[in-house]
Amino acid sequence: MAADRKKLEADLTEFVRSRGARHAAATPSTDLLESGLLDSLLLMDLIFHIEERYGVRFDSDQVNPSNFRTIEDIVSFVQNQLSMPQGQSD
Amino acid sequence: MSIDTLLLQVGTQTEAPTGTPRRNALGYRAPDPSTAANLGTAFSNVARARADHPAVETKSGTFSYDWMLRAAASVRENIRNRPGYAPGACVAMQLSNSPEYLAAFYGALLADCVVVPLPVSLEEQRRQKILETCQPALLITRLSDLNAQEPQSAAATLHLSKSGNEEIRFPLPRRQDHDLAMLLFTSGSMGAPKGVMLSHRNLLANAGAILRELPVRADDRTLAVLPFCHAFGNSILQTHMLSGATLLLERALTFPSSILDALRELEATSFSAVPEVYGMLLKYGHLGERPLPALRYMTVAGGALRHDLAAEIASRIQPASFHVMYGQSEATARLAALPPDHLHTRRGSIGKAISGVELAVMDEANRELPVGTVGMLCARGANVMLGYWHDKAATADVLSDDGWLRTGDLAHRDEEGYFYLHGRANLLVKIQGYRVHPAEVEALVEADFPQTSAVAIPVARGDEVRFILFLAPRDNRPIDVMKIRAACQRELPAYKQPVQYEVLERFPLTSGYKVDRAALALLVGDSPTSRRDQTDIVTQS
Repeated sequence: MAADRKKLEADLTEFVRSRGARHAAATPSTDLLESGLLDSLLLMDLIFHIEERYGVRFDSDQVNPSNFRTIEDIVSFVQNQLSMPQGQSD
Repeated sequence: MSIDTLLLQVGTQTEAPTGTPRRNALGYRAPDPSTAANLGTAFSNVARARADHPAVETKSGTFSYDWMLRAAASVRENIRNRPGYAPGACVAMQLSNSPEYLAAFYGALLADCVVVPLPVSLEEQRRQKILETCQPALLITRLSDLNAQEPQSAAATLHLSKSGNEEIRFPLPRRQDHDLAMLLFTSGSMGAPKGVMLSHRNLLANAGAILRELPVRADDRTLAVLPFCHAFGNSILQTHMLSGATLLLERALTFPSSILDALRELEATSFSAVPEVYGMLLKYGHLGERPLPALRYMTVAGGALRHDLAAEIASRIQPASFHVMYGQSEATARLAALPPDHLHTRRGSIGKAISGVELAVMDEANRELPVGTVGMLCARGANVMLGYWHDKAATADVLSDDGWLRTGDLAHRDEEGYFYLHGRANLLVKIQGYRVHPAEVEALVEADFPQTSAVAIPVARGDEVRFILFLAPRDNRPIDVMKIRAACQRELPAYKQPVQYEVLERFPLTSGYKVDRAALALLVGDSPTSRRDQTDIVTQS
């Protein structure tokens, strides 16, 4: 799982960084909320990307600031979901 | 072309009004905006009458109408004291929703100028094109909204922190009815930016008509999420400022839950948004689970919201009412509204024409079509624009001599005058309330990569619409998708960026040898989602 975490983190970091000039310097620990990098359009695109690529579904309770504050937080959430029995682990 | 830049800066919180503003100034009723001489005067009159009432609330403070009028008067003075100042000149502004936006907007109007509000996220090429077209002498912005690349050595700063007790005195602006008040840049039917020319009468008439339709009151508090530089956002701004009500500006409304928390904690009485936001509130929010006792109504416009979603929202926010509205920038903002009690009986309808507006379904020759027949939705009324800025041909395409505006939307009418939309007559699509033409994406790619042809096809993703970009080589050179994607990410605002890139050897053609967009749209349907992962592959044709 440790290697997967690195891959997942790299993928999501690239996803956020490719968003535009302001996002290019984002790191896994950048506070996406404080920095104002995460707007609702990026949030929806991230959810779509994660659902499509990793088969993880978000419940309405899970779309919240604590799961999306940093890329690391998103990675932890996705890994958590994947390791749960009902999660798909592809 | 040289444009002076003026940076607005609001003083620290201590400089915001310290007196306790009256939250409920009962009994205040603003005059009907349609009777005012011009928009600047209308604002000024309401601001004087509502002096202590909060005009804007942000995280950093409360800004009363008195503060706002003083701030606007400072901007007015700054503009008028500039060398070369002339009434009727264009003043551009690039500001996110903020007290500074209002100060710049009304300040420029009080100086008898024409306001040109530009989105903060505007792509550089488009921004240059717009500035060249309307030649403003001044651009008003603020540090936090400035593009990092922007040279700002010459920028002057104006501090909006005067909280003095001296009377605010200035002669009222002289602009009249049909004088130009605002240029609202949007995408024309070919994708190029078009400046919608709105007169004082357009803006005042539409604000008046909306106020007759919606239960806006002087003690209203609306959570404003729509950008004010957008026709829909601008209509929220005007109707609330001209009613003496309060705009709640929150910076962080990224999460559906943060919108709902803000509505509850700020005791918002109303909320307006585009369909995508409502989709998000239903899917990932708990709209209706926790009570919103202060809420009286919500509105949707800026795109089509599916009937089942509209009905779901209406039932979840009861007893607050849900208003489906329709309009476009060329008509200032609103053209039609569906009364909340007709949501279920007129499924999928955009409603009836609002007061002072005529709507009709017409054929190509501008002849009215009978009930039930689909044709071009046309509108006439005091809110219909003067035309497109410096573009007679484009104006003639949409505005007839007798004042009918061809909206570009296909529609039919029922026996009782309710209208129903049937898509667009051209390629324009709505993304997050913004009108976007595929050519805006295609032209950017083809300018940077002349050996590549590009076709952007709108695709539904959940409740949203986004573009897939199809690419085909013009010669035998390989297409570097990575580079093209990087260019799109660098130059286009997020909502215009393609979400997927597909390389084809050649595009399917219609019998008229044009790119067959319908065939490409079918390819989108076939394309398995797993192909999303292949978009980085450099394809050799």
